[in-house]
Amino acid sequence: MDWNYWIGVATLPAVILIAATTLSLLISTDWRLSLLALALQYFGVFILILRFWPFEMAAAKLVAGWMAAALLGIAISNLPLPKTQDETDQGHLAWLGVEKLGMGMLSGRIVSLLATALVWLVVFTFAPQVVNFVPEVGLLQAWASLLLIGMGLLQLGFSSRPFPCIVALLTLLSGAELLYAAVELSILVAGLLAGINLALALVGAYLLQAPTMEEEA
Amino acid sequence: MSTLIGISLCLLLAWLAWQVPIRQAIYLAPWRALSALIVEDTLFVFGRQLVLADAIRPLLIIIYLTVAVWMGGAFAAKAGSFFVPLGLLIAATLTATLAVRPFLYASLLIELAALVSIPLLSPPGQKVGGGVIRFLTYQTLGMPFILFAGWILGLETAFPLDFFQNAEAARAAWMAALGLALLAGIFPFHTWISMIAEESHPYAAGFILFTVPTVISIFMLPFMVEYIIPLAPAFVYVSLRFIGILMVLVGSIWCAFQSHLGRMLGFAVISEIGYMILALSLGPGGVAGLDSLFLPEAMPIFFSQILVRGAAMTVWALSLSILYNQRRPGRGNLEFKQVQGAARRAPLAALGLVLAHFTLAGLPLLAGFPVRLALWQSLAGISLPTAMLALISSMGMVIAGTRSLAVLVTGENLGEWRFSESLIQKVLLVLGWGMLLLIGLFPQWFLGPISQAASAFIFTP
Repeated sequence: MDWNYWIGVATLPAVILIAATTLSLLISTDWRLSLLALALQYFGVFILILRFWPFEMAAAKLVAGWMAAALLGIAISNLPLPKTQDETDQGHLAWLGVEKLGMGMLSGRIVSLLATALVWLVVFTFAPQVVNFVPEVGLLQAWASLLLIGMGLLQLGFSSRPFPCIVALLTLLSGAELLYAAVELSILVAGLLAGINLALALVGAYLLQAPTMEEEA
Repeated sequence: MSTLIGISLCLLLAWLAWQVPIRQAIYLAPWRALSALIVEDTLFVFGRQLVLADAIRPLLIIIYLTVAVWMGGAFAAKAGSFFVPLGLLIAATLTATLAVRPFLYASLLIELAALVSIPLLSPPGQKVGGGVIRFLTYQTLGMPFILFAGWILGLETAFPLDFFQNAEAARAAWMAALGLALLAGIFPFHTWISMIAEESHPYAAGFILFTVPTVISIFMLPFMVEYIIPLAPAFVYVSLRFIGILMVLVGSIWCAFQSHLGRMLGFAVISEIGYMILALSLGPGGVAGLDSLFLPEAMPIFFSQILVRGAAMTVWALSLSILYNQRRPGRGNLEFKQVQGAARRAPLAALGLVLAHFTLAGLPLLAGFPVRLALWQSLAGISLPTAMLALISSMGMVIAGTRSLAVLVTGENLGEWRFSESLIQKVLLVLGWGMLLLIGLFPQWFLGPISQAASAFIFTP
């Protein structure tokens, strides 16, 4: 059994993994869980992208994604801890978007689940048209890329805070890259896109840290 | 020190662009017998090319001179230690966008430039504003649209490039339009501009709001010529005219009703993006007996606007920064309430601010007038209502400038008139006003060479 066979076998689980991680990114209120989901999501994208790209290029995408998640994790773990009970009660890190307001409540989660259902409906409706439009993409890859784009957009709509927005942008970019990988094999573009992922995470890390840094005189 | 290094580097690069021809033999004087030095125009990177053709040299000179001017003002404006290094990085990245082939990959570089500009817009110690996040979001969303549009349009041999005959061509055109609108802050994706102008340091905001739309507009030019206009020429020109005048009107009218000096700058930028689009809507025409995609005046107006906008925005941003740096801690920043009577303590900055307002309004004797006049005349030849609306919209900027002047010179408990600007600030402001007046009084000295260079851009169908 050859390499392509195993990629074919792993495709459906990768799509399921992506669906689960995007949902988890939307409703999770714990940054550790969000970053774990992001890292797993990059693994799913890596599996799907193997259909179009050689292993080395796909691995570069995976490593760049994991580095992006690690950068965000390091930035958050270096944020100052709440010093008073008041800060703890009011969600000291909430204004940075590390904790998503509203998502901790049942109503918030129900709304996000309903919105997710709508996104999934749209994705499964439009995926065949995407396959017609870009024949190089298979149906499963189209599902995965549209899921990433749709859920990324949804998450962007739910928050204007740095952490969820950067994670949403990374998710959305992954979806677009997955589609684009089917039609573009340029090493320069792959490199630039990996660079953009890393730069986006660096900017996210900066935005998380900047308010706690010392102001310039 | 970093400012001096930045200015020197930009001036050196501008000088090199002026003096060193590309793909021509350069003999080092004492060693003429030795082999000549030839600067190649192409750099290969992973199978793709970065091409700086000889024809682009005037543009490089303008870019690096403009960046040098902004660097010069950064010290006086106290724009922060990030300004010079990141400004240089942004200038280099945006220059690469003009060189990369296929040029659709430029959208990746524009995204990188946007990412690099974030620390300028949201400096250490300040809460992250919504405008920065929105700017980042729109730039990131725009990039995939351009890449996909480029991919579809790259398949032009596979289908006829006709917007109305072919669904794929239409899809590509919509994708390209959406991508460009997201990147350049075109209506309805313009909201980040005024937000950034309100939240960020005025000088950093001014620099980004000048460089990003300008470079994107230059990137738009070949993109439209090669891919968009051929799809549906008549439809494209009318659409551009509609979007352009809409942005000019929205920007100018909203500018007139603002009560925050930073937001006024933001809406003026929105109006300027509209003027840039209006210049690109001047077509089709005939140049030197050839059919052309644009009227003969279109390219000179398009490129002259860049110089005028650059000069006005530098003075505007510097003046605002001086007022911003004088604000009282914890009392907001540039709201009308906070700057009432500010002209009494910083009269040179206040005058610079008002002059910049009136320049972008296109008032006679100032730098904006010759370019606006040419645009109004050309527009009137194609669509009189559009020209009238553009003229009327200038009133918005005039009202905004007058309101700013009124707020800056009036107020309660006003002190004596005094000059609180530092020496360097005074020198730069006077130079800035001088520039705005000189370009307005003697446009042939400044706009003449630009128009002449721009006339070389003839795009045949």
